[in-house]
Amino acid sequence: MFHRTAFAIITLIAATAHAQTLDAVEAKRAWTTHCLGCHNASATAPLQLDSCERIVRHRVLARMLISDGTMPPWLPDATSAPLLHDRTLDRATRTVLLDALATRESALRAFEGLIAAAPMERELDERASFAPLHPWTVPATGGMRIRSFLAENPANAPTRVRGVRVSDPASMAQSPMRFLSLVADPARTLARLEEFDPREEHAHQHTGGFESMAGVGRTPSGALGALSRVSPTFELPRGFAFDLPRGAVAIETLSESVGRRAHIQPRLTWIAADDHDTRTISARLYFAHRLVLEPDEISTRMVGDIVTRDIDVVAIIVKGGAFLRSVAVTSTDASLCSTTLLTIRDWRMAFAEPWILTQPMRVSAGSALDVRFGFDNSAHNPQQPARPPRRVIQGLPPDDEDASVVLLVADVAALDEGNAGAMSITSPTNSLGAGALPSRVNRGTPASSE
Amino acid sequence: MKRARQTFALFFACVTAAIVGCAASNPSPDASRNQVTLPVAVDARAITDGARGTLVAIVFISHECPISNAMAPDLIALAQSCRARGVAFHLVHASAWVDDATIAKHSADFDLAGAMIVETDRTHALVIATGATITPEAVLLRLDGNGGFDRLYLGRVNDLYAAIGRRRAQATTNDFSDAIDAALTGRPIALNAPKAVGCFIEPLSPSSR
Repeated sequence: MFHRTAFAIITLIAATAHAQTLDAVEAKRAWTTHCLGCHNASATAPLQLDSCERIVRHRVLARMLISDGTMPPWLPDATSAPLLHDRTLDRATRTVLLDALATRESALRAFEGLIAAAPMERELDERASFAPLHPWTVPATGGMRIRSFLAENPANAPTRVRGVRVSDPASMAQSPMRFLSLVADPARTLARLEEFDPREEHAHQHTGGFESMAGVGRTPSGALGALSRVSPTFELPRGFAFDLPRGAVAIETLSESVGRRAHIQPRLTWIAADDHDTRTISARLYFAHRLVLEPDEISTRMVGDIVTRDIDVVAIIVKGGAFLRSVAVTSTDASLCSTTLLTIRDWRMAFAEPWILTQPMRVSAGSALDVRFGFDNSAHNPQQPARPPRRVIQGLPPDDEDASVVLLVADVAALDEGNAGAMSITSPTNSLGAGALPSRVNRGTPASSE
Repeated sequence: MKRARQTFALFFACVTAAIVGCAASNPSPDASRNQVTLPVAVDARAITDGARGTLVAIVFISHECPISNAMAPDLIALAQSCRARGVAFHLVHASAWVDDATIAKHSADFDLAGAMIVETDRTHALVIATGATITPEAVLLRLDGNGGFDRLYLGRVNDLYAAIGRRRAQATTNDFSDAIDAALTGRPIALNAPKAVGCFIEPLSPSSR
């Protein structure tokens, strides 16, 4: 009897230990997969969580943010088209992480011996690297600010690129920079802003950028891609590329004060295209023209246009300030079948990034592309900068609203059928049901830049 | 002779402790804003050992908390405001593991050393006594004159952050400063102060280091 009892106890202890070991393996795997990519010494997150000690130190915060869905950061909701780098945690993984972080003891057990893999050193191609000549100093206080720069492409930079990345991602961890978008400015159209900004101390010298959005004519900023602290690399899917003209590139940055004066000087590196990246990307811009939000106003604006030729939507870039609360991008074909490309119900600029569709979405000629912006200028807006709320117009943050959507698309007519074999295109599906008519306002607002 | 030396040493130690205690309870700006100034260990007993009715304002911070750091200019203004109102102000690092050099550099980077003496609470004596759990978090105490206190306020400094990832351009409320004003003028302070938003203070354990 005694031997049986002892055997049962020993078996139970061994089983428990084995289960705990498996849990620890799962917890480390989940942490490595879903957290370490951003929270290591060479990456962009402000808190390093790449050791057991650090995880334990921030255990309660990490558990809270995983539990409420704030972390990992992922703004699109489940109704969006499939997007690359979707960080949504499945239920099992969330449970593993929450259990591991439940107590100090469980965290020590789960993450003991966690070793952050040495970051892959991506060799910087100096021919493809560029930066503005002068930095700009972000003040210690204040909200999101736009500051744009001109940077010269190196003389022998590639002429076709698949994307761009932050040259040193770790530099963003403590930097005020949150979001960057790019557009070619070969004629240096924006240079006049940089040289003659009367608000700068030395108005006729190069002074580290200018306070303006960086669209060039009808070509929006973002036409060459976008980057963020959440996503310091932007890379088009295989088969697609940007044309990169010689000359200057305008870099529009969105920065947030970090409590002390800090320089920003974005240093970026192009990702060269190869011979298979034959489809050229162009940009379509959507914004609420002449936006005015009265105090306490909560409202929606819809803008859209009719597509005049078949296109494939490849990526979506959203920008918005304190008053933008939701975004939805839909396409509706001639038979009124609608497809949702992107829905964000709880916009937070701090977690914005460019979203790349897993499969480019075919939008046929005659279809409508619509963007619905949800704005909140009430006191209940958690990022309301004014008390009481005041009138907001379209303009620069933090006091005004610059919400916009840029769709990166490729013409189908230009598609070389012979090179399309490796690429699959998603056709729209009816996501709203027959007969459902999305409301449309301001249809025909010109999208830009093609 | 030996007795005289002992007496002198004891007198010198008492004077030094008194000076440090006074400096901790009534900090004055450092002469050079960018000078690297080492933090001092907080003396929880000295903080609470004051005359009955004395108000003491404490803000707990962490050098690696982005929210705590973003609020640095507000904390400098708060320290200056407290000084002007005759309220003792303590800026206390709640991290048990961070060394003095790191804190000193942080203070210099964020101009904190120019406005106040920065303190550390590595034993968490003050953290535990006040009930703070987050950085940045503000506490207002009214001393009872017997080494004890009433905690009048425990919560956020202001509404700069509504939540992680939701930051305003500038704070639209100054909850902690308002609470200090209320205490100074005898007005009631709301029982449920708005909750602080930031990084959690991990409790100490035997194996914390």
